[in-house]
Amino acid sequence: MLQSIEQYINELDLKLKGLPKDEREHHLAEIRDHLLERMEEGDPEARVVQSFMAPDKMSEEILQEYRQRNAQTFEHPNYWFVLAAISVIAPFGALALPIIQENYYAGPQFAVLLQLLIGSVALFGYFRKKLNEERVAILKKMGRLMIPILALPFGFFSFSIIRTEEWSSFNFIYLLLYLLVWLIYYISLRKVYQSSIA
Amino acid sequence: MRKGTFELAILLLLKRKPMYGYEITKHLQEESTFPIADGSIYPILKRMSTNQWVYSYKEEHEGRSRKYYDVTDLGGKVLEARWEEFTNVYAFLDQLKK
Repeated sequence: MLQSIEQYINELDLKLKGLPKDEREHHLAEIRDHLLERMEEGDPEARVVQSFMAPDKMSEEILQEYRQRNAQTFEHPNYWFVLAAISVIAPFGALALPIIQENYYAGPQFAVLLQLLIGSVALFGYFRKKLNEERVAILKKMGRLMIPILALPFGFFSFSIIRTEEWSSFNFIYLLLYLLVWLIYYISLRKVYQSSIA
Repeated sequence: MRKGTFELAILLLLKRKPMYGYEITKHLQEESTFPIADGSIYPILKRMSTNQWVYSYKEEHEGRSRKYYDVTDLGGKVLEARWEEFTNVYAFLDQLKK
């Protein structure tokens, strides 16, 4: 049986994992405030917690409202999140092309960099506090896609050497820069994932 | 009916002044007509926020962030419509009683 406010909040937090993080935190802060005020008015902590709506029932009602709200929206609830994640990962395919071209064409690459920039702002800014269980699962799958994408720059690099039978300094420097940017993004994605499951 | 009555009571309370969840619960619990279980106000308030009948804002109170609710214009219209519906039902029942 629950004895303390923190126990109640922790249990409710676990049961509300289906909600986006910021929404979940708003609910928990509001309920914690309610319980603390009752305690400040003189009710013993255990009684405050035990007479409050049980975490099972509370989470069921909150999640039901969330599901109904999502069902009323035209788009898939995670449509924009998936789009943001794709916008962060897909550009790494296109960004490998200069290696096989042995030249950097700023024009076509501008669109790719713009997509990466917009995707990054959306994913690491807007969605960072709006992660729920489904989005975290999507993030994990997308993050794992980053690794096979690395086959492209290395493949292009090898192909370029085979074709020209010599090392290109441009390709080598570009590959290093590519790997640096890739690593920054991979670590950032992993951090967002780890903070969301903590 | 009961859910609708709770919503009507909440709208009437918030029409007086913005309130936070516990404050609303206490007001409702003062009346035996509204035996609302502790905590059950929050799913109702969430639903009313989603319907845009009420909006919320935060204010600092003794180091804690407190969420206040207030009635929107739409909420005011819903309140008027519900009140009319409620008085009509009451008038009809009163007539039946005579």
